[in-house]
Amino acid sequence: MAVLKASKVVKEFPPPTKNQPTVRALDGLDFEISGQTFVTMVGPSGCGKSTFLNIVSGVETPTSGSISVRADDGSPARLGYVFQDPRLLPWRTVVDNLMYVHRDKTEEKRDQIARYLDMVGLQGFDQMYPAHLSGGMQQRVGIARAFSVEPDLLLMDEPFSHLDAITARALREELQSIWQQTKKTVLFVTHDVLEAVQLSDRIIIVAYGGKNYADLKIDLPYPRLQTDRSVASLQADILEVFNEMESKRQVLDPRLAINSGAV
Amino acid sequence: MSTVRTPVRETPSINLGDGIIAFLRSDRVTRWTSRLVLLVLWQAAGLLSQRFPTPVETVEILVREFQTPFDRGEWSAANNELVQNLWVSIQRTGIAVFLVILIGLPIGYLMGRWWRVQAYFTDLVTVLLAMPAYMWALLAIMWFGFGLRAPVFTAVVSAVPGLIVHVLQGSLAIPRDLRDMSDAFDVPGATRLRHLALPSMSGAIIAGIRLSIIAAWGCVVLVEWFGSNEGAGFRARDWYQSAANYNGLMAWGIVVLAVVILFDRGIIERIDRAVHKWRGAVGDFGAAKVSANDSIEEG
Repeated sequence: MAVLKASKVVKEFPPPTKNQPTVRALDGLDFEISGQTFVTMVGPSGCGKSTFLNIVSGVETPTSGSISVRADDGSPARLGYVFQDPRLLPWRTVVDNLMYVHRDKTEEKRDQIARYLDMVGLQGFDQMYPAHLSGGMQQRVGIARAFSVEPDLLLMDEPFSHLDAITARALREELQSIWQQTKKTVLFVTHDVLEAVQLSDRIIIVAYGGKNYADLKIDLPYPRLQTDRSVASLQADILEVFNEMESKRQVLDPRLAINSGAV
Repeated sequence: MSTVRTPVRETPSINLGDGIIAFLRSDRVTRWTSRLVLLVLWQAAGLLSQRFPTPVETVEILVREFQTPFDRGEWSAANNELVQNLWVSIQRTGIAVFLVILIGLPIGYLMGRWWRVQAYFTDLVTVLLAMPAYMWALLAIMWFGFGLRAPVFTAVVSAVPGLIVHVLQGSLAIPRDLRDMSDAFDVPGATRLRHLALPSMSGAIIAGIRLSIIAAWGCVVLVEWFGSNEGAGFRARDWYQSAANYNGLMAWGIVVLAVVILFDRGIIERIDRAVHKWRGAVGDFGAAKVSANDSIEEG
């Protein structure tokens, strides 16, 4: 488990062309997560959710503010990352893709890793190449890879958004089951409110421009299905929050109201 | 309730006539027909011109070269003009290609990874690419005289820029998403180089090495022609200048071509297939066996 502290995180990207202003993806994002928790950041596309995960994982650096990720004992946290697409090495077998992220290359490690392939239902596929697997199976390999590093903090960036609805539903249910077994600290990113309600015990709503908007506790028993009445009802409540956020945005920026025909 | 019937396509019966037509239309027959036509045209050209050797005359010279002891020594299957001169040229090319890879591979890779390295080498590579090989050949003979250094130097300076350009393109094409994934999991540099960068660049590297071998071989033969007392190029010039024998020139020209083709087909293509086996049919799949073009669907 891990403790993640984000303090007034700002991220600006250089302008795409000379005469344009810099692009501010995150504007003072501020929160803390810790313990056996499944936290989901929900927000509209382009609100900086993926940028935030990239900063947490060290792929990007913040323009200002700070992020610290520590294991429970205070040491630097081990991170696992599940991306939107599987990001597997096409020239390595399934098991070698998992081994790639480990410094320990021994046979014992290979045997340990097989356990994570079993966990995501890929027994017997370890010697196959990614090209021979379906999209859903490739994403399972990505999930197994992230769990195999035994992370203190697991980052998941819309991992089911590229999959068909049936596969995504199956994987969401499997993820709940795996999380119940491992109880890792998870930071999940999505723009799908229903997915967030089904999976998380806390939802952080990020507004346009990468600002905190709301922080909600989801107190429903696991396992949850998207068809559960309580899940659907909570989804409706959260969508109301989104409507409220959108109307405030239009008041702040009258051009948006005209463009969206809301005037 | 109506029943939909799927039409059953009947398997066509194959008779002998169809088999012969299929054989005549095959890739193999097309390739061999082309080679045969080339041989016939060559023979016809030789018969029409006194200065154009026929295939038969060319083969006769090659047999004679094989039967002539090298350097007045005792003849053996290994010690004759054909094998010894060829071996000298192959050795020189081998040394040159080794140096080309040693220099070109890291420079090309680093140019793709760091803009400063790219800025430093871009002009130099462009100048080297534009310099004709025969200029280097003449300069090298002036600087180094007869021996090993002139052909190796010429081959290296002529072939290195081509390999650098290929490897640079491969280095720039290492997928960004896989590099980000490696950053996220904090994969060490040596592991990235071995398991991400090199496999990702392998197509460009093999293509670059392939062209480097051809360029280096051509340069070695060229320098041997101008300034050497052994090697395939020297022997071709010897027939041409000392004996005014076009048959000898053509025979060694054919040998030079044959070496390139045999090396390319026999070694480089096999390496290419072995390195890129993951693209197509892949060996043992363990418990789950699938064909190369199939993918396994969600259960």
